[in-house]
Amino acid sequence: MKPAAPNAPMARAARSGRPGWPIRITLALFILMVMGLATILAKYLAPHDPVAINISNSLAPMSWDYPFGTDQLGRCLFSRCLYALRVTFGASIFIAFLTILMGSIIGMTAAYLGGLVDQIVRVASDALLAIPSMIFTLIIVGFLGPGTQNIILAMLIANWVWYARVARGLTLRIREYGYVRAAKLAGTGHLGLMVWHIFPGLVTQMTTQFTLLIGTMALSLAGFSFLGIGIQPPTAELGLMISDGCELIQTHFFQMVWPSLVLILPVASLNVIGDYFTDYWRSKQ
Amino acid sequence: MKGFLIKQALLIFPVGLLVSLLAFSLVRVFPSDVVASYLKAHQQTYSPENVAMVRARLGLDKPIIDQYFDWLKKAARFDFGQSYYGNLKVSEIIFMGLKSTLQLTAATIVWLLVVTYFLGLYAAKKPDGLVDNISRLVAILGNAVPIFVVGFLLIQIFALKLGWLPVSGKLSFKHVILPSLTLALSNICVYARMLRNEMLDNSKKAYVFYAKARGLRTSWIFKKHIFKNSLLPMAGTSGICFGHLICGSVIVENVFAWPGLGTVITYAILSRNYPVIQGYVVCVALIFIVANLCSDILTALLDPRVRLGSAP
Amino acid sequence: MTLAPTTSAQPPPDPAGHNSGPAQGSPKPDQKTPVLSAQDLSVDLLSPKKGWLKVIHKVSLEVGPQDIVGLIGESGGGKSVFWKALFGLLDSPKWRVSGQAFLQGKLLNYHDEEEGRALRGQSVGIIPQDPMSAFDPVRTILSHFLETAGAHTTLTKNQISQMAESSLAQLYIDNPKRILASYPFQCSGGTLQRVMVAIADLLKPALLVADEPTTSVDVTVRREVLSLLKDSKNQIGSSILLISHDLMAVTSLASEINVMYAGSIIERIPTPALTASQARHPYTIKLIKARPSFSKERLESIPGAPPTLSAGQSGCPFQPRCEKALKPCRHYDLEPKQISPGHEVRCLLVDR
Repeated sequence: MKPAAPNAPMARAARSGRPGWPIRITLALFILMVMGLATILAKYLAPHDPVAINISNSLAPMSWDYPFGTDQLGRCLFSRCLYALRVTFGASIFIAFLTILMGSIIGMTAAYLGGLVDQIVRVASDALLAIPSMIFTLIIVGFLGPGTQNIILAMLIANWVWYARVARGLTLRIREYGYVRAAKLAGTGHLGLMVWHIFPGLVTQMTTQFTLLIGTMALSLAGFSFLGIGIQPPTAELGLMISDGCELIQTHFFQMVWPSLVLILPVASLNVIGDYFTDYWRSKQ
Repeated sequence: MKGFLIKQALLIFPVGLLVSLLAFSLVRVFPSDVVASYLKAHQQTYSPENVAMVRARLGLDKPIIDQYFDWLKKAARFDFGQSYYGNLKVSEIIFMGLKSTLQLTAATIVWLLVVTYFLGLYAAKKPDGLVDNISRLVAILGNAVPIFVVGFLLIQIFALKLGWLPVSGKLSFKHVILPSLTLALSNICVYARMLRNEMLDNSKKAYVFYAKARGLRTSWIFKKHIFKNSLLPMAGTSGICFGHLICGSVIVENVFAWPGLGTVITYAILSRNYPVIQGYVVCVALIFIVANLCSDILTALLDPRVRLGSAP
Repeated sequence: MTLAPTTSAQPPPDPAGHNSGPAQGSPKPDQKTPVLSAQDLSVDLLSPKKGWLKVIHKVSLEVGPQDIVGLIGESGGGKSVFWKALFGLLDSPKWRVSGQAFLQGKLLNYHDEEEGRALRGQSVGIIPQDPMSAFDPVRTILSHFLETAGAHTTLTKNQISQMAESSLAQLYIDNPKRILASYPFQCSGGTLQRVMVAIADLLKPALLVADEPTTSVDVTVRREVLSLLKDSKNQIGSSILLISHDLMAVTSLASEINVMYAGSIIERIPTPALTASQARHPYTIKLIKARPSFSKERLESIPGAPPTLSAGQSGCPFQPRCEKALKPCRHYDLEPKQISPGHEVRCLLVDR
């Protein structure tokens, strides 16, 4: 009876040319942009070599030359943070992307094919999901041994199941939509339907999940490295740096603070954005 | 209710099968790693004779199926052999670790129940008030802080600077406070938010209006109708919550040197102590199965629709 | 203003429930006092962007003792807001209620929460829409009876159970014990509707408010629901305010009908007079003509749509859609005009 409320925040903002989202999103995007640039330009921004050991200069205080000071081995903390940012988040983005991709493809295919394949996938995923992904990762790493490649592989294997389930649910719904049925009637083959019609329908939801997953993976990866079973020293990784910093917590508190902030800020920003858009898509349904 | 529980219990079989295969294949798929580990732990050289001897001792030369059933039989009796390091049986190590972890988890649950209840309640009574907005902010930001950072911050504040509580270890009752608080903090905000959202949603439902229309007192409506219905989904997620606690305990135990399953598995992974890893897999799988079953029973107890089936 | 205390004035409970005397739960009125009387009741809603919007405008309505009065109108026209306002079910401060109303001669104070709460369930039995969602899904049917009685009286559990059982038996439910012990999801819509009537009757209120009792129910059950209401009126002697958009349901039960349009009562007419020839307001006439019946070949519909809430309302609310509207209708102040005893219209055209 009434037209869509013309005063809704997004519509109002769209008319004025400003983004319709709250200010915290802008802040989050800004942080992410800065961090992203820092990651890409690490080589140029880092004043020192992140692995250059210089014991005589260990635990130096903050200065213009060493913006965050140095760690126990005399390495520039700021440079290490820059490179660690790259390692932690680079790996996280990589894992998150592959996880969601793999999960989506398997879930979509299973739901599309239906029948026995779908049932098997459903029972298998229910069984696999009974074990939390972190424990699963631990087990796989126990299997393969600690190490950079192993942790990445382990996290990938442990996490795709959840997204397969999400993708499966979505596919079951999308399959019945008008445009998909129309394409089917027009004679599009199975592969074509999946690639061109169903998959694009999944993309929006999966992108939001991807945003949130990067944060989760970053925290998990830092956690595993903290325990010593993830990325190995001397690679600069945020979890490792926090672990080193915690040993000195009584005397040099800031050794722990800088890598923590560098880890927390992007994850918080990703969460804020991911949560907002999850609510947004949910209210649209 | 019986039918419901039977359905849930049936899920145990695929999970159990999967777990046993996983634990078993841990060692059998890469036998050379296992042998190398074994030899290293016993400080023997990696020579062909030693390798052959170890293979025979560990039964690696038998056909895979035989190996699987041998292992399965022993596992059913919780016999996972000897740890590579030290003189303990794997089952003893796992058992001691399990006890400590359960103690930690119990303390954490106490924190969770108490704080979540009050926080969620308060936030729901005054939606968009100060407590509500702060808890939302803390929930979003708190999700971004890794558990180990929280743990060390708490150590810094309460143990080092203020000296109220011990730093680490498990020697007295006071030692459990900081680790359990750390573990609880990572979950409190999420569950408080969940409770608050549920309560707000339920207070708008038709049956609450009908209760008001019958002249029931507000406190009664709140206690009997809104609160009880809001607890239901939380009972349903209690199994998952327990899973999160076990995951978090891996890191927390390392931070606070708490001798639970978390430290056991970490050291086992680092030293490639395969029997212990196998024992851990089975133990943890059992924990989750039991936890999920308990959560299902709890839901069935609280929700008659689940107990009696939804057919009119 | 508070009502007289109820617990001491309560007669001994009658387990058999065959009390067909005048309504209990409040001091005995004399036969002439209307059970419910609203005078110039207006309700405004505060919108964050548009300020105060008029939802109901100067509604005057009376329900006599042991009488059934209907209130009809289109969905969203403000019918529910009327009774919610009277009995304190609108959640202020978004709402502003003005005008006077009396329940059995006592002035209603809409802003006193405790007074409203004490009235509801005891002096006024409310039967809201949609029985399927009105019950708490995790509590038994009996618990609903127990808590309703427990909020207003000091009857014991056994007494209440027995009253409930006999009520349900009278409303043609076989095996009331089983229904009482079961949960809402195990019962059908018709059963739940009966339970709602039984709960409303439990403490023998003077007035029953039935909001759209036939809307959420199957067509086959509709007639039963209406006869249930009639039975309860006969058994406990309460009056009924019957609210619906279903003209047929209301005419079969009510002795008098108030027609509401866009928040104002535009005609009050005795039921026998509700015919196209005797009704006077153009809207009422159109409503009657829009009723499906076997003798009609085409149904006439009313073009246009009811107005949305607005801040100012000058003149007749139906004027934009009325084909007989004239210029003065825009400034008409809705002064009622008496056609005959019990029949009033608010329309400029009536004199002409």
